[in-house]
Amino acid sequence: MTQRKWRVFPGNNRFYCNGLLMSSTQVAVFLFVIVAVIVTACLFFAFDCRFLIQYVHPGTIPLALIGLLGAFYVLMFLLKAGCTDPGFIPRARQDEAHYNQGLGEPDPNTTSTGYVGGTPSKYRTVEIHGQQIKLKYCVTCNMFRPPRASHCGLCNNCVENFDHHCPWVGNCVAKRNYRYFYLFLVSMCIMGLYVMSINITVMVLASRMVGFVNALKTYPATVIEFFISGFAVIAVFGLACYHTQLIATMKTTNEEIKNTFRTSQNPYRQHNVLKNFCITICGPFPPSLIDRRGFVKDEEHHGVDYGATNPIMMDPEQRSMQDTADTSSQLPLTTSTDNN
Amino acid sequence: MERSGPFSKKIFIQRDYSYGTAVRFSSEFPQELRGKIGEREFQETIDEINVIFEEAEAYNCQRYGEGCLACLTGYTIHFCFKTHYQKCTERAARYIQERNYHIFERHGVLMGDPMDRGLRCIEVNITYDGDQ
Ligand SMILES: [Zn+2]
Ligand SMILES: [Zn+2]
Repeated sequence: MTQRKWRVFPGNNRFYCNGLLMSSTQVAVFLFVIVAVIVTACLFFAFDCRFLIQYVHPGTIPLALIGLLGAFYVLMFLLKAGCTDPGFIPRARQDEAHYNQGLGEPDPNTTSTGYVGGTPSKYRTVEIHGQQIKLKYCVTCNMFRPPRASHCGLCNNCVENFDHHCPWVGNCVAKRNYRYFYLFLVSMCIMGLYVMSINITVMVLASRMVGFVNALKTYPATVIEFFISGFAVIAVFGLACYHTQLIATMKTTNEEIKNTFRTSQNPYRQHNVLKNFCITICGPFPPSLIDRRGFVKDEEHHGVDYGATNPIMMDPEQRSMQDTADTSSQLPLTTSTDNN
Repeated sequence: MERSGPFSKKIFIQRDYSYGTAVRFSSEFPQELRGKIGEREFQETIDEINVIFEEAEAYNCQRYGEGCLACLTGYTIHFCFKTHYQKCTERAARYIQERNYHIFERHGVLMGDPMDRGLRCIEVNITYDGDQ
């Protein structure tokens, strides 16, 4: 029984082409954005570029080529941002979950507030560049969330370097696709302004030939493009500026909103602004951790059943014994031998 | 407590975050391995794994150049070539296999590929003889 891992992936995601591509479950807005970009690009080539080349000067062909290249980048960045694994952290299997529980420090505050029947919420403190950072235990993923990771409620999985869940690209924006998202914002901004400036040029030149009102009637596509691009630029420009500032200070939106570093220095910050940009945009490409095209091993298959048995706090002695027992919940805890 | 027959135990070597979120594993020697393998051999292994991951995540002009090139091709280049990071994770997996084969296995210790656990930890399977 060999099953690809994407089939048993517990988060809220859709997979296509046998796990090659993935997206979140809400893709309507994402598809709308793709269609809007393609339609605008087609109108731009079919009307504006043709007008410039035919009626103005054949030397304007490079303007069309720049548009083609720009459209390619916008679409590629958009598709990459939407269809890349943002950096999901695979959930811990039972054996590891038991072990992880033993690492936590009991938290006195949570015993009074919640988790009556289940696991008490726990923390673990680690030191990063000399700063104490609290890692929270994720009850869904059965592990202590790594620093900067957060659990996305929509994707229902922990994500590394969580920035935000973006409805426009229909995906989480995090460690693995942040650069695509940022490049999409910037390229969209530039291309929007580019298309708008060509639209204005076409309108001015056409007005000289046939008058403004007739120009509007003859080239309605130019007017449509102008409004789509204008809307896109308005929507994206502020966001692009905001993320430029975040990259310069090496923060995520999540940390900025929660004001994580109000009392302490950001321990993840690099040396200078230029280096921060280089690392974010041209730095190493971390691999996908969920191995969605890999095959499920038998041992893992048993561990996938997360909800039913929430691991309980045990002392290390008992923990190790439970690890050796295969389907642990049925067997008594005192079984200390593994008959192999 | 009386024990009969061999039994096994899993431990998970945790990440060391003291240098930030870069992938590093703690080279602190786990008590469970005492008497099975030497402390030096264990630390050597973890150090080598850390070096491989440090190289995978290193920032230098060559990496920036590769990143820029990939960006200029609209990241289509990644359909054809493996990233430097992927090569490094594969190298780490090969290294661990080698260490298992040459040193650990005969002492009843089996180290797993950290990628199997999402780079959160390294799984170590220890088999004890029953008579201890
Ligand atoms: Zn989680
Ligand atoms: Zn999400």
